[in-house]
Amino acid sequence: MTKLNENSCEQFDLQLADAAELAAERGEQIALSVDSSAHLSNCARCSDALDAVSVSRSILHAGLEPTAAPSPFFAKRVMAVIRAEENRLAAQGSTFWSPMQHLAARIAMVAGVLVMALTIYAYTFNSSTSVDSTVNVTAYELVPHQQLDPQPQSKDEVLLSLVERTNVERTNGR
Amino acid sequence: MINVSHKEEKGRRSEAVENAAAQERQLVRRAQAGDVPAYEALLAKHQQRVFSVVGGILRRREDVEDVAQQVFVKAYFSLKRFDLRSAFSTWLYKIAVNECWDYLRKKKVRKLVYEADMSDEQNRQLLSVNEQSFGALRSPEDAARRVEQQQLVERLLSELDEQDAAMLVMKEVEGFSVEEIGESLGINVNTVKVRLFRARGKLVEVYRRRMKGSTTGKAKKADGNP
Repeated sequence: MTKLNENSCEQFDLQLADAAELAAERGEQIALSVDSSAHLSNCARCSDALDAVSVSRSILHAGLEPTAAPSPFFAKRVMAVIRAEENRLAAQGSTFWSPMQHLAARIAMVAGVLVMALTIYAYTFNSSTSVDSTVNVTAYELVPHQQLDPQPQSKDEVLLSLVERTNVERTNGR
Repeated sequence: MINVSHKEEKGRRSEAVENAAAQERQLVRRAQAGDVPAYEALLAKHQQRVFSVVGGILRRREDVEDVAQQVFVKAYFSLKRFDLRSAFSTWLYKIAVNECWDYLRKKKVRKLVYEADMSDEQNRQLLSVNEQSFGALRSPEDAARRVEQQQLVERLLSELDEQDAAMLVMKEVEGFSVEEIGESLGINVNTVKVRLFRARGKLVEVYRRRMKGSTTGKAKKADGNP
């Protein structure tokens, strides 16, 4: 029975709340539907809840006042805080690069020295390898001219070379 | 004839509302583009209402100022993320409400107040003000008494759910409509109505319980019992 009553109370909650809010907004007496009125006459809980609307209103109005208007300096204070926050954020952003900025001159100097050293090394290395290769080529080119005879390519050339050698020996023997 | 002029008046009003909304959207767009004076104009327009939202939840003047300031700073830095799908005010009030809950969570300024926390003096004062005389304490001569009265009402409210208490104050004291409360707190309008209705009942119940408790205490004292 109690549960049934609770269920029906929940059904009327919105109707009563709606009527109460509407009456409060318009400053009128609470107007209820026939169903709601019938429920109220049988339900002490809902009847008390409806009474509580006006009582709660007088309690709240007597005890509390609307929040006072902000001071005339409020907006200025907010904007000052915003500016300070923006400056802080900007400073925070630049602090990431500031060590780099501080070291930039030294980094440039070290980089310059490195580039110079590399250039000198590369130049030296290049010139030394080019001298060696010249020497080798000269040596290679001298060997066949001075020490090696050209080899015969066919049988005829072999015979001709033998005849030539014999003639040379004869000439030398004389 | 009266009907026609009434309709015309209504039309003019809705046109004015639309114009104001368009102007506000324009201000928001400019502020989003980095126009600081545009944001200052938005601040000037909404500061009172933000104070009311924050005041409805926190109620202590010092807290209200600090949190309202935080709301506007936060809104400024989040403005680029605001997509203009809702009204700027709705978005701003949501920030305000969230800031208030955060503040309360961090500071734990609101403690549950039980019967034992109230002094005898406070109970006596609460008793001395019956339901009818609540409204009669509005003269300037009663300023000091009103301060006490305010503390007592705040103690009554502290026994309610935080959100219910905020809704009651926003509705009854700060003058927000049910729709505005719903938008600010992110709750359906019907739910706001029902919760307000129940919160009122609870407030009066707590008030009457205190009265009854205090009366019983007095009677016991009169009988010589501790």
